[in-house]
Amino acid sequence: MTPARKQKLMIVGSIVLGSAVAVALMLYAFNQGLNVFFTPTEIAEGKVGADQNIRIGGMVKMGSLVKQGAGTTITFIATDTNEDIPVAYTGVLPDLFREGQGVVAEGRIDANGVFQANSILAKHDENYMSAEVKAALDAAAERKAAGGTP
Amino acid sequence: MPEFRFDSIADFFAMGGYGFYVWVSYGFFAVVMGYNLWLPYRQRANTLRLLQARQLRQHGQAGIESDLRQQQNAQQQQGEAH
Amino acid sequence: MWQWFYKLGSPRYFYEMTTGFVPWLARATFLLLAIGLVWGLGFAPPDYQMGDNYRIIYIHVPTASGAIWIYAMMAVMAAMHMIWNIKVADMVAKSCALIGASFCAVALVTGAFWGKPTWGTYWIWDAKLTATLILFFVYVGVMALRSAFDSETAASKAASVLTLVGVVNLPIIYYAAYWWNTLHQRSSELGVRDASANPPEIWIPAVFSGFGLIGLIFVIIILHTRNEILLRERRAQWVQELVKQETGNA
Repeated sequence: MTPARKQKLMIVGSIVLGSAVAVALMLYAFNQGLNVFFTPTEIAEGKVGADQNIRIGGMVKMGSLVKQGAGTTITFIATDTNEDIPVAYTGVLPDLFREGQGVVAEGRIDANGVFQANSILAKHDENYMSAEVKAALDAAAERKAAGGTP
Repeated sequence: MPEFRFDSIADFFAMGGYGFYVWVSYGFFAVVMGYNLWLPYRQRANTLRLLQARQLRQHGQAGIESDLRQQQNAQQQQGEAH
Repeated sequence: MWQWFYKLGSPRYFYEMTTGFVPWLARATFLLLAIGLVWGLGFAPPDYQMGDNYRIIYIHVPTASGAIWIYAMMAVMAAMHMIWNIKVADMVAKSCALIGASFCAVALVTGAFWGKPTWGTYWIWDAKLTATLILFFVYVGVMALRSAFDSETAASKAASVLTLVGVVNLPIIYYAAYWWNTLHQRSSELGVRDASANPPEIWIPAVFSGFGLIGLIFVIIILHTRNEILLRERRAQWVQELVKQETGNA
């Protein structure tokens, strides 16, 4: 093979390989859906088949988090304010998991309509706040709720 | 004026229990940026040495072909050193 | 302004202009970076939810957006090289690839080590993360393609074309969290929308580290380009004189 041809082969090879990697990655992403999760509304609309392994995403409803017994099993309600779905999970939780926070759970819906999660991820929003600022904000909100003036 | 947020140096390294994640991130950042800064300095030294050697050599009629060969050698040297 | 820009297209002018400029830019860069990182690591208040873990933000956010902007610059240079055949533009484009790939790698790694304790996973195939990984592979692809050619002209042409093709990825990365459900949050708006979120004591160090990293990008690209100029313009009289001077051989 002449050097010129070898060179051309290498070009074609690298282009093919590069685009193959890119397309493979994209297909992998498409396979799980370009959306990484379904919302409770989409599940209520029946967009997910029964016994399908999926991710759901929503907010942990305030006051819905319950620890079952002494173990690490928890139940809570995931909501998108429109529809709710009950979730059960046993295992380690990420640091950011708490009521009022975004959550992404992977698992399947059982016969009772409960989402049995086998992994829980916490979603964070784009806002960052210091503890002092948060405390001041909470105090202000409480005063407002109490109806008093500071 | 912002105050130092940690009680001790040990506290600072512990990062409230997140030391591993924080320092791995900053360490990787420092290593990669350091390499990116060091590389052009080394390449400059290599380039100057190469061009100096080329000047010292008598190259009356060698012309473009020998220039290209030298450049390829330089690239190979750079490649090997990577 | 245009005349100055036009002059920068001359390799010799670019080299001579940057000789005095780079040391000052480097000093400013190190000052800004040192202030930003020390402030961010030690003096910014901890986040009320993520504690000290969020301090990774001071390198994650500027390297992630840097990876996108370096690519945009590389594409503009590639286009300028293709349309007007400006040699310096091609040299700058060549210099963008490694630092861009490095920024992208740092963004991915720091993101992973931020994600593990907060999200609960190092990695997820969501649209934003996947598109950023593809950006990294495009950078590597551009470098590999350029080195696959012996002829400088052919290498420049091929790398320019691939660079321009890869531009489609940039808006995807930025808007992924708006177009699809992603685990990754959207971009912060530095308290524009709501002054209580993202207060100044958290974002001011990010401004320092951000401008520091912009400086670093230009320092590294300029240093690379200067080397490239010496190599490609080696037959020019002024380069020969310069080599004699620098290496002290008469």
